[in-house]
Amino acid sequence: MYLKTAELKAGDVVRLNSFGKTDKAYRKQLVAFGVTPSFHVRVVRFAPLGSPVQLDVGGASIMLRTEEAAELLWERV
Amino acid sequence: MRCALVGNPNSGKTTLFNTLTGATARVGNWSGVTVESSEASFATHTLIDLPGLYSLVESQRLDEKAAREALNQTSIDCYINVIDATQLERQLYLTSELLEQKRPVIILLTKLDAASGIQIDTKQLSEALHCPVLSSTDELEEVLASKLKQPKPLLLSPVEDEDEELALLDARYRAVHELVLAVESRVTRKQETMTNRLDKVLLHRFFALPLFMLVMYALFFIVVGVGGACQDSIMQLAELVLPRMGYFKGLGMGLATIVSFIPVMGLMFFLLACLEASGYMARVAFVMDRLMRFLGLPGKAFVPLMVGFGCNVPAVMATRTLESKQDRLLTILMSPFMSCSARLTIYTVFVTAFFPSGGHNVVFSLYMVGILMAILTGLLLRRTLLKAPPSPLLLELPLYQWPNIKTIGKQTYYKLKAFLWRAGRFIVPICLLLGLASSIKLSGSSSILEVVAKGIQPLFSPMGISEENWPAVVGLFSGIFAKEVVVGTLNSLYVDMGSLSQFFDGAVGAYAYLLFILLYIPCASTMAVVRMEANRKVMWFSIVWSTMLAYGVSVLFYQLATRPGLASVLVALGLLVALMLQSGLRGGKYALRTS
Repeated sequence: MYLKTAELKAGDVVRLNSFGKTDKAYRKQLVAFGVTPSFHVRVVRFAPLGSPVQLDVGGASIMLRTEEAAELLWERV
Repeated sequence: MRCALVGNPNSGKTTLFNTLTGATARVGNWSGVTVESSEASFATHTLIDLPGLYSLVESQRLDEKAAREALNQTSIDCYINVIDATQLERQLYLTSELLEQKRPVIILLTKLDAASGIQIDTKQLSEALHCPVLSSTDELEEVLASKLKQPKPLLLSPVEDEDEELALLDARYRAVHELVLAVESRVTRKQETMTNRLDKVLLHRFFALPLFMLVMYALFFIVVGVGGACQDSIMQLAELVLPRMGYFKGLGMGLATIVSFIPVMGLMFFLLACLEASGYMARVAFVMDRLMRFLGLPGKAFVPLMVGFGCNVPAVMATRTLESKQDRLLTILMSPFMSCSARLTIYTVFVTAFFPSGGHNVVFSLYMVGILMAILTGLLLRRTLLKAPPSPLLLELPLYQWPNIKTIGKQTYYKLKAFLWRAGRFIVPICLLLGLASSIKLSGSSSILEVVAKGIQPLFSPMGISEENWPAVVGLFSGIFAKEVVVGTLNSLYVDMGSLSQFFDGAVGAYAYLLFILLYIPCASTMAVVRMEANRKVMWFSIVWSTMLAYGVSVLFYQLATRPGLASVLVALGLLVALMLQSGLRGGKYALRTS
């Protein structure tokens, strides 16, 4: 079962399954921040208004907007 | 040898640059604002300090672009890759790209003092990357003097498939990850635990917004409350001396204005730098992003707009915390509509004279009109002149840390000095000119200003300013130099003629005048900093746009309020146009679908 970014819950540990139709430049940026299928990502929390989402990738906290990350598909690990 | 300092933002390049070369230039840069590089000599070599960058891959950010271009200059002999030791893995990503650039690379680890709990095997790292890895600057000169070898790329078998850039990126990241696993050992650090705990509260689903508001309120209170009080006393002191200065009243006024900005601006620079250094500013982006996205602005843009309620001058300066040039320009153009505390002094005088009850509601409505006009400006410009290329938000939340007071103090001092000098060059001459215009007498007893005011008064009659109320026009003129002086100007002119309340067309006339005061050119000082932070064109745009809006809004208000008949006709017309537009749009869509 794959999850969309908006369907993630705080505390989930997930792995990126596919970038979907995410635009190329954004993909590259995501990879540069360590969001790749090779790594586990922990969902830390969502902002008070639902976006952005804070993720823990290998000890670094990063945030991305749920709307922009809408195409990403995740799987629980 | 020419060596470029390359590294992620905030990895300590500039600090290093300054220690090595003894340069004091560029101290006190705000993150991500520098777009140019600077050079200085170190021993027999030349060091080039570049803006920070995360990756050599294209991005929209201006400073990163500049850094990339500078990197490819043929004159550069080697790269000194500055790496923040606390973030080895993230920063080695850039290193892995640098290793493929066919120039010698020297790795220099920084922030080792903050990296307690982290152990990095520099020898192993150096062997793996085939380049020298230094943990202090002591050996740098020696290494530079030795013969540097071409580094070996990290990916031994580069991914063949060129189309699959993504696979390459992923492979690169995995290689870095494996390398870091081998050379670094770390335990969870105190700072990380502290950050997690603090974020649980500061980024809490329900508490985050109220806490953010509290922080903003504190910022506002200190800058406006404490700084503003100092500003007021300086101006009051100046007013004791100024009347005796005759023709040089304007000059004195200009100098006094500049001096009076010192407490406000100093506090603002200091507090914003503290917010940035502590790591909270990045959290502001997290908390406010959704709300500000409505205007197409990043969450951080909220801070300068908020500061604008105190004074528009620091607001314009505070836009420096925004990375994108487009976002900065938009925020700069919006901030003058934030009703500053100087404008409040005018409201209070008029409200007491014209609205004996419910005056606070009147003042509140003015603040709201200002905010609405800022939003309108933002939306309009975002859709026309300042269409931003879509730049997705991907930000790292740094660990919290205590701001280093010494560094921040130094930064504040340099910022303040630069501000006083650069803004003063514009403010003083303008004030001098306006002062001359008001004190040089022409025929009989009228000054140039009075003659001009009487001449252009008809322009203002649609908003309810009658011919005998020419002092109101002079008030608007003096408001161009500072809103603080409007009340003083009006008082000194009306004193021989009667009282303020006699001259305006009742509450309606007064409100129309206040609307104009709220929206037109905020003041010479604000315009001077707009010019300084953006350029002359943006300044003129702001002047023309705000004055047009001010005129439009106050004339519309006065005409509608004094002629109920006209008002209903206009409302009906507006509705009709809206209806027609909507049905037209629908018809258009229908036509498109059927065709």
